[in-house]
Amino acid sequence: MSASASGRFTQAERFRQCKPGRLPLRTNPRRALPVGTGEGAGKECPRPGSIDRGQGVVGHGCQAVLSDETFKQREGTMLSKSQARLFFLGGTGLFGAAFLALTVDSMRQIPALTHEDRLTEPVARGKRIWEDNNCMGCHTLFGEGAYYAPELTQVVQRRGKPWIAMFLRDPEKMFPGERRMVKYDFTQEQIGDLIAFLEWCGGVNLQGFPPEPPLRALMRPAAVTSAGGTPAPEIYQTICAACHSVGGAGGVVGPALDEVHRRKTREEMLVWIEDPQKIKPGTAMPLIEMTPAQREEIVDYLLSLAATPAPAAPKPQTPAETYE
Amino acid sequence: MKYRTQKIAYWFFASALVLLSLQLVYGFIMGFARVGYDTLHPWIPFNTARAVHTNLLVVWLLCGFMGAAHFIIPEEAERELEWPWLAHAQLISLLVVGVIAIGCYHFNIWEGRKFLEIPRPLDWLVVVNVLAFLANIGVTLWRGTRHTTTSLVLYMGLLFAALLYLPGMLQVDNQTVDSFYRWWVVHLWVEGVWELIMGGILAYLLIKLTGVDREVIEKWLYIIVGLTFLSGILGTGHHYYFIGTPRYWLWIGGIFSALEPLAFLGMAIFAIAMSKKGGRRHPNRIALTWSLGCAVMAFVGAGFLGMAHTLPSVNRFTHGTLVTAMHGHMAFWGAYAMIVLAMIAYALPLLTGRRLWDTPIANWAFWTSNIGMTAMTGALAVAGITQVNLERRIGLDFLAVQKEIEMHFVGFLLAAALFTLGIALYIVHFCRHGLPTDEALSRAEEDLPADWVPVAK
Repeated sequence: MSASASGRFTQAERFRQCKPGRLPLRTNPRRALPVGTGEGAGKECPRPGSIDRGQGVVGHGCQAVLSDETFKQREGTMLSKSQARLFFLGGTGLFGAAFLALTVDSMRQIPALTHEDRLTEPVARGKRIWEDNNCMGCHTLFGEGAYYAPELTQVVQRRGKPWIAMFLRDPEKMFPGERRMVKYDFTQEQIGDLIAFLEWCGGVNLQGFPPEPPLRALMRPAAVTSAGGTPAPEIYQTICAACHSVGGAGGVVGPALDEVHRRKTREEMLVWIEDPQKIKPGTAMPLIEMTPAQREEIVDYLLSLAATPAPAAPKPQTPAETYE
Repeated sequence: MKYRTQKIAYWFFASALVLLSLQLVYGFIMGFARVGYDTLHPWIPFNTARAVHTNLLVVWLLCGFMGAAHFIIPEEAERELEWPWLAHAQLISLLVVGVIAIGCYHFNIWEGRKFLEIPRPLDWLVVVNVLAFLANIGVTLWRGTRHTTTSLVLYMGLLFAALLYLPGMLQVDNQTVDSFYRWWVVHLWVEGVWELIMGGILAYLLIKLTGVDREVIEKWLYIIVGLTFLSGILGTGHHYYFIGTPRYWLWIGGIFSALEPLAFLGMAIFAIAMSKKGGRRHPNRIALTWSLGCAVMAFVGAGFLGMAHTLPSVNRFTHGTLVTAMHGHMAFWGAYAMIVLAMIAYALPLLTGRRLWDTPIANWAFWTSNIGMTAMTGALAVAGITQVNLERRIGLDFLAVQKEIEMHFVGFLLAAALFTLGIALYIVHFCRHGLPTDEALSRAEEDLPADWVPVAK
């Protein structure tokens, strides 16, 4: 370091690199420095403005050209280099220490905020599966990831476990022709672990993230909220609603089911749900494994829609239409 | 060039440009996937392309930083590099580790944490590699005759970058804790110590190119890196808003990350003021153009666009959307890619002895790549804002929204093609210099043409 202990330059240091007979490097020719009083003062520089290759402590430096006063004036008009260094070291030290203190406090609070008591062995295994397959390379979790696939923070709360389990067995089957996801061939146990991990993530206190969409209420007609005579069974809500809509609520992959009772009989519906491919080979609807009782429940629900008079705004809205 | 061993820098720069080219290829794979052409999906799914794209970015920038250090440190310390063989071995091993890591990503082998995807065993090789680099540079500096602020700031940046890599290797079961320390690496790198490296390189370039007094430049360097840490350290809080950490990070992160543009603004004002103040017209104009461009684009990309979505009330809606990608692209380009390209533009004529400064190709490379990147950022901004409005504010389904914004990625790809043209021109310019040679060694005002007239009074 060229500076002396005080941070200022000593006389010797300041002129270390000077060669007699040169004028100081003029950082700005319009504001040339006053010539000093020492030896060599007033002499013409043989190559005015010539290049200092950076060795000089003070520019290309000239012996005795800078008087103490000039030097101070120049070095310390606003703030000196040693003050600048103090600002850097002091600021870094202070805010670094504050950051460490806050880190300690955060580590103290995180177990409660994340419900660490619920962090079981399957959750930990699920996290490793999540990492081993770089799920963050497409999805986001806590909003962190790659924005190519949906945010999964509250996916268990949103989709339900049966749907996720079915989806993970063959992702493309659930969204035919849509953006693709790798088929990972997870075992039943691995799928369980992943769901446990995602469920745990959904329970973490994220300080209000993801936010409830503030404009959602404005975009949905109030009339459709009470569609259907009987409430939809759980199997319908978790599986069918991902693709189909009733009363404007639900997915847009398959057709809306409000009027399906007019087109199909009870038996036709039951056969169709049992194996859509058998009735219409090549249809986008996948074979969804469920018990006969569950199929009955779904059909009962769809037929119950006939009992309700068509609501005022029965036409299901696709997102695109809503937007336009 | 004054020291024989500075030539090693050339190989770091050349490797950096090769890796950059490869990064662009993977960027295009992702761009096409987003408009529906994901034919490579069975072999290179999006998460592979994404991991390769970001990891190559980090590796080529580190390569560029190391090259810059190998060029700057001998000159600042006024001696040859301590162990030239180690520098060669270290470059080769870095590339080997990088290629193995990228290969692994194609076979679903990784750590799967955003930006830190390198499989853990390879992490250790990276650590050894970086230690070798730091030892080499550090001993050179230690035994040198001169310890300048510029070289110390640059070295501190590199040293802390290495140290901060370690928290990223922690293995924990709690996703929140995992994320917390992951940001120690990612944030404190790009919004902390990398800015130290950038500041060091920028100061060096300004000293050389503008001729302004070293004392003046280094004083302001302290102020700028001081501002960086003052805002950047607690600014890490803007990654802690919504990941399961205490609520106070919302306001701490908000306040300090809102101050982060100050450092970049300071850097931009500093670079422009110094270039105006410098009475000298260095003939390597294109290097000065890149240096000033870097300072300005870093402020726009990293400072201004970062500020645009850093406040908690805004970030609540933009967090985890393409708005982040918008900010990320221009921030990395402006702050780090451009400083490396500026350094290469400055060092290349000195390493090879060819005075190809300020050629039309070099100028076209600068403008094409910058206009391309600005347009890419614009396309991502429109896509990102649309996504925020439809998905986060109206509550539409993710995939439906993605379909709506697909067309913006067509624009993005066109802009990316322009950007790629700029990089291609830069590489042509690089190749035209030929290889580094000892004939370029000289100690006087070697680098300037004999008829060059310095300052117009």
